[in-house]
Amino acid sequence: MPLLLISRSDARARAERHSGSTPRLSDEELMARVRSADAEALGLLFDRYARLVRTVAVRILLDPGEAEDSLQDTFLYIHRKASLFDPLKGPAKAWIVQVAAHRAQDKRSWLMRRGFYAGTETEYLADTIAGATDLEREIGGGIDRAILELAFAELPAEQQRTIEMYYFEGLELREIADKLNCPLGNVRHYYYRGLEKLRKSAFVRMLR
Amino acid sequence: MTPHDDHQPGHRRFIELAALASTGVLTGEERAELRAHLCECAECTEILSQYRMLEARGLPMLAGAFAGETMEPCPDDRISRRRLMESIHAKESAGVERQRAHATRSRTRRPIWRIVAAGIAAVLVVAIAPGVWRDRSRTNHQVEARTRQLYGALAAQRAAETLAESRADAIHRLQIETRRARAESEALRARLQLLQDRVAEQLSVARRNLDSATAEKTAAEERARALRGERDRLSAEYQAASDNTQNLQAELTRLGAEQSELLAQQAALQRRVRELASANRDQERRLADSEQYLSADRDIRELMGARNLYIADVFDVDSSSRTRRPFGRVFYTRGKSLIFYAFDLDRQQGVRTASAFQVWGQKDTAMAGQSKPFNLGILYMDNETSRRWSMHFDDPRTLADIDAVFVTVEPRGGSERPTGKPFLFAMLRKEANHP
Repeated sequence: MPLLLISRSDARARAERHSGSTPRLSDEELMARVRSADAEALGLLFDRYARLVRTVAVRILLDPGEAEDSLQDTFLYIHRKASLFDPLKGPAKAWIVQVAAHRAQDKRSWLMRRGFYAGTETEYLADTIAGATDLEREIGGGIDRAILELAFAELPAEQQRTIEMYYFEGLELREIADKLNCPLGNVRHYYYRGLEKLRKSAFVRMLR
Repeated sequence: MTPHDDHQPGHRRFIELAALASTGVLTGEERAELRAHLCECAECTEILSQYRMLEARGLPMLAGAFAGETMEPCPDDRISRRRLMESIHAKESAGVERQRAHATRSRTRRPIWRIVAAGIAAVLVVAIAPGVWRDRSRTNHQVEARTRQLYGALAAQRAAETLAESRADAIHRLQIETRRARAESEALRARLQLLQDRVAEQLSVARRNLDSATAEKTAAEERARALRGERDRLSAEYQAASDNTQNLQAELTRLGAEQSELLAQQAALQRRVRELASANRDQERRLADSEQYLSADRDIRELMGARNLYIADVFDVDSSSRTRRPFGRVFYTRGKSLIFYAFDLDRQQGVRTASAFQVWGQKDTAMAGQSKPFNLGILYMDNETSRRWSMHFDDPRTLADIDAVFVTVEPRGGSERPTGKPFLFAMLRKEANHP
């Protein structure tokens, strides 16, 4: 795991130790408390994953304001439906991001139906999914996690890092270029090549 | 899969632009170019759709595994958090109010037995009323019967429609389920294919590794065999060398002992040589002494036996006619030898440590101023105890030319001609006084 992320995690742990008397709890323990209507536990989860959830929402909704609403909606959903979380099926953070993605997708469909993106620069991007057929939606929903994870693990390090920083850390490609100290053209290439390999793994293999 | 997945060069640029379309790094020109292309190219539109589905549904799947690290909250997060907490509190408050209102309504509701009684009464009214109506309107019976038939038919039609709708819904659901199952089947098949490919690839790699390992093992065994042979050969050589070393060591020990013995013998011989050399030197010295003695003895015998031996004591006198300490004694055999003894020469005036006493021969006193003195030699200390010096001269030709002898004090080593004052002057042209 990149050193940068580890240092952030340590900083967060220190911040939590200093801010409260309770020791640092795991995500799954916090989810259990949220199931018992513990608002403070939800707040701690929010502190840990708000930026990640917001970033995912922005990538899907293509609008920061709507992403902020989606962030609220996601954590309210978690507050209400925490009982749906099953720790045997995976870690809490994966479940939270899945919830965020699904809520953002629903919101984007709702926005599309109301012409939210009409006339905007991103109309053709949002339309690509909203206008997809049922079969394509089913295909999109049938992306295999294991295959995708395998394909991601096989990406070169710089492509992996670029996608992670863009999609999960909320950095723009220009910021990533500054951070990696390399030209924007290279970062564009890393992102394109990485995403293209993932696309082929997810869709081309599925339709073979 | 789209036809462009074979990466047709003309479309590759638009595929890249489609991948980057949502990142905000495309220039206005690139965006316009992509939009124009998407209007004409269904395949690229589909690829763009796949990218978007990947971003919306695929990448979140990776979040748990690859982006699970928490990030520092930003100021916006704190505002959002407050907003979330307020929403939760508001909903909880609203829920409490709803529960309270529900409880109040429950308290004012009629007892259940009253509702049940009212229902039974209504049923009785409905059951009795048609009988009364039948008595009063028997003539309308056929109309009612037809009406009931009509209602029955309508009900049957409605039931059929409902059944058809439910069947249509079921068919639709089945279609969706079928598509989902087909998609899942395709995904599973793709995954299976992928796994099969991977297994085949791993098997191939493992087979290659096995072949390579077998070849390496064979080569290693060959090397080990060669090394064992080499080791045995070296071991034999080592054993031979070791034996040779032991032999050489024994020989060396033996030679060392012999050398020690020889050294001892050599030392003994050297001591013997030194002793013999010393004895030889003593012998030579004694021989030289003997020869010297023999010579001296011969001289003495010659001197003692000479027919015309002239012996004279020579004294010098000072101005007051006293004899001086130095005096000489001359043994002269005409034409044969001259022996000059001198005593107390160091008492002579003007004598220094570095001086020599040189004896000169002269032709005649009368002609002394004309003849050149002959150097007869230097007087050497003969006997230190008696303070005696001596000089022996036996050149007959020179002796024939001289008539007198005298002594001068000269620098060390002597001089070519006399430089000091003559003393101990002795005439030789006299008759022999011995015998």
